[in-house]
Amino acid sequence: MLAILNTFGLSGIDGYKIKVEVDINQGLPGYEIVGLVGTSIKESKERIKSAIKNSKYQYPILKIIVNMAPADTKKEGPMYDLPIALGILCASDQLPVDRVRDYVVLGELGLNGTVNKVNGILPILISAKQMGLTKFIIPKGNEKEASFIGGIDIYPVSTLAEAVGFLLGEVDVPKVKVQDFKDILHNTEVHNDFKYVRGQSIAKRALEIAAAGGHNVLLIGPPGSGKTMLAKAFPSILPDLTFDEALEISKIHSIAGTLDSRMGILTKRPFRSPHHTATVIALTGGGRLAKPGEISLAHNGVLFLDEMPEYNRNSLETLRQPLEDGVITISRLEATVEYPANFTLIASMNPCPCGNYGSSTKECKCTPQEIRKYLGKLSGPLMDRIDLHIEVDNVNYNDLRIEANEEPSCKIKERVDRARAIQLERFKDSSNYSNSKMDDRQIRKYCKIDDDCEELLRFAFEKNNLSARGYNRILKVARTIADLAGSPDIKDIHVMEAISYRSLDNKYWS
Amino acid sequence: MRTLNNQERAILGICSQTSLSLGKIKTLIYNLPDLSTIFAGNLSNIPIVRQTLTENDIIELNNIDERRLDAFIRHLAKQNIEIVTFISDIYPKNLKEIHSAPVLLYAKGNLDLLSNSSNLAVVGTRRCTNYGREVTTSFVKDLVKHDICIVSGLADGVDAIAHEAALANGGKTIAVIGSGFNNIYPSINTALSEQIIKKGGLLLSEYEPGEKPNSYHFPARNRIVAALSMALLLVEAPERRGALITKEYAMEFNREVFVVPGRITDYCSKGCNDVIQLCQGTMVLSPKQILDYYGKTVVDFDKPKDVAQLSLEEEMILQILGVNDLHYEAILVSSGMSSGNLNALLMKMELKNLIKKLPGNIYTSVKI
Repeated sequence: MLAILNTFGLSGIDGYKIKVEVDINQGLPGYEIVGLVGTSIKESKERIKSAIKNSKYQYPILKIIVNMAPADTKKEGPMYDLPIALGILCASDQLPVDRVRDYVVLGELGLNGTVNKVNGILPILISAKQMGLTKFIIPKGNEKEASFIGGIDIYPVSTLAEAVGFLLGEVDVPKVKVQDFKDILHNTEVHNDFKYVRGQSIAKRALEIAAAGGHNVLLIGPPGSGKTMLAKAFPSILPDLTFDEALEISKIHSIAGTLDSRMGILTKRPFRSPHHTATVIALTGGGRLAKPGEISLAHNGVLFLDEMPEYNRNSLETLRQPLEDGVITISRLEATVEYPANFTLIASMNPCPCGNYGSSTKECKCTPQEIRKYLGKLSGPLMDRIDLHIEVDNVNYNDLRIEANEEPSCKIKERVDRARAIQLERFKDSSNYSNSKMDDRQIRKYCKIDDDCEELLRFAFEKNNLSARGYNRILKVARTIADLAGSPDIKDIHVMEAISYRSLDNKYWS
Repeated sequence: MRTLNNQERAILGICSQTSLSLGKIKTLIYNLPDLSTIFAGNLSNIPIVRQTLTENDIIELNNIDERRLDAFIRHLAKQNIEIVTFISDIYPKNLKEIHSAPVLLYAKGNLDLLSNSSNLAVVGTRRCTNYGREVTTSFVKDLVKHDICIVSGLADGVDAIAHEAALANGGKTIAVIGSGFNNIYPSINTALSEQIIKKGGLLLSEYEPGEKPNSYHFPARNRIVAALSMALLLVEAPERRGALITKEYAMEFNREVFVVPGRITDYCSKGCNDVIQLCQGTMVLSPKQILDYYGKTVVDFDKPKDVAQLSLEEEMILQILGVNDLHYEAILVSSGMSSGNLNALLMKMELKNLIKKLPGNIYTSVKI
């Protein structure tokens, strides 16, 4: 007898419908699975057999053939255990087929018949909902992440027996309750606050601008000057996630399996800091199954590269295209997928190999050549994509007699939120949401400067030897500074301030 | 390339294909009526040769390959490299005075500068501070306006700044390098060396074009820098560094030594201050002193900056800065401005050349 069930697979961050067809015939007892399936699906045979037996159902001693359609797409992962098991039960007349037909079934089985948590539930549910499917059976462990999707019926089950009982109408499984995203958003706490960072006013101001406009930042300074601390405090001033943004990020994290099952959705902007030994694949994503990499996991959040020149040159250069386009396409033998990678890059580095160049407390022992070589590890095109270069220094603030009365992050965040609101209004008809992602046409439209400013900018260019590519960057940053000041026009002080954050273009570095 | 006469050709042959010392070559030059006889063989018959040279030397001389020599000359000509020998008319007179004058110089660029008499050597540390940079730039600027040719060693730091400042102000400059022309050291200055040739300066080297920079080349190069000049200007020098070696040579060759004083706490000024303390050089406070020494009448120095056009805010910042270098946070506290506005203001003042930003968020008012 033949049974057909619905389930879902993932290609990148989008789901597609898969049909599980189970046919049981007379013949030599055996189990055959076809449809371009991966090893973990092939291995499911033993899990399913044990789970069915241990759940007190009959495993048919007949010829079982399972097909997963479409047969030309590679399928991976253990999430098809439950649909195949239910399919076998249907085909062997232990469960009526018409009871299962309307459901999309997902779940991994344990040998004792428990249904285990699987990765990628969130993007699957979102895609399935868009395709008009409404009833789902998912593992109990994935209940939380499913709870943010309204308008569909989701039934979490913890065992195979419970699933069968529910389908037969014998057991009552409550639907997943829909949670409001806003309720959990405000429960998040901040560990690193700007009020704990003394001094560093330039850096704080620059990070405020970066948070408001989504600009990339490079922090340069000697060891122990607080670069990492500033970077870690940066998420505390980032604007709140919108629900759509949160879903987008959670989808990626769900695929990567890094989603916290207690929360079920990301409520904070991600802050990823891969170690400098990270390979190209670790950053961009890839591998046999084209999994998302660090830059995609940092989507809508921050990618922090501590000690940037220590990273492999190849790894850094691969960031160039995603920094410009906000997406990365990964092509592998078995899959070609596109992951979003729209992140704010925060990088930190020492000014020279010994780290003390420009330090007021320690002497630098590097020759000019060594310093040039060190800075030369970062290629020009990559540096051009970084809008704000900030020097962080380890001045002894007690000497400067500054009161330890620093502005807390929440105050800064209020200003950032206001500036971001202006941008959301400005870009409501286009796909981007921040000044840093403006294209040439938008720059011409929104970054108009008067003739005096133009003259000033040209003068600054000649004097400071700025690169022509830096021109648009300066205009974008100036736009954000004007937004922070609530000014509809870009004025000369905004342009001046924007230029002041290009310190690496300054001559003493070369 | 100028054509070489037989004598010069012989010198080039000896220098490029044997390992004879400077002294031996000079003895040959002074005592042999025609140097090209070395190509004829049977050198051992000449008494003076037997007295000065060892057997090995004579074998080396006999082995000079004339075809290889001619190929080398063509090779030099192709690269526009000139040969200036000890016996040539254009060999600098200043240089000839010294005992250890090189018998052969490779030259590239404007050969007229060889006969220039008002040369000034400008030397200092490779790792100069902002002070060294400013002093070098402003001194060289005024000096080249009075037709003084700047001689230096094309190293990092003060050397490169001196060459750059000379070219930027339309002046003449001679760079004496411690390696072959094809191996400029540090390599980053290759572009500068090309600028020097293009803008009417001169590149000199004792070494064949392919020679690598060896550490012992540089003190030797310094003797040429000192000898070529009438006087030497020492800008910033830590203790026991190359710049002080050049100063020793200058004193040995009886050249005037001018020293720019520095703060007693500065590492980079230690050497300079020591020289002043030991009365080994004249302390200079302005380029005028040097110009007086060269017998130049001083004309059109830049007028002091016009201070009338400053805005109130700019004046406040200058007042806060005073004569000190101040950290950004200190300026921020004293001015009471917001961080953003202060950044914009400081940038504007930097563009107006009123202040300067140093590494480590330190600001300083532009004094010179």
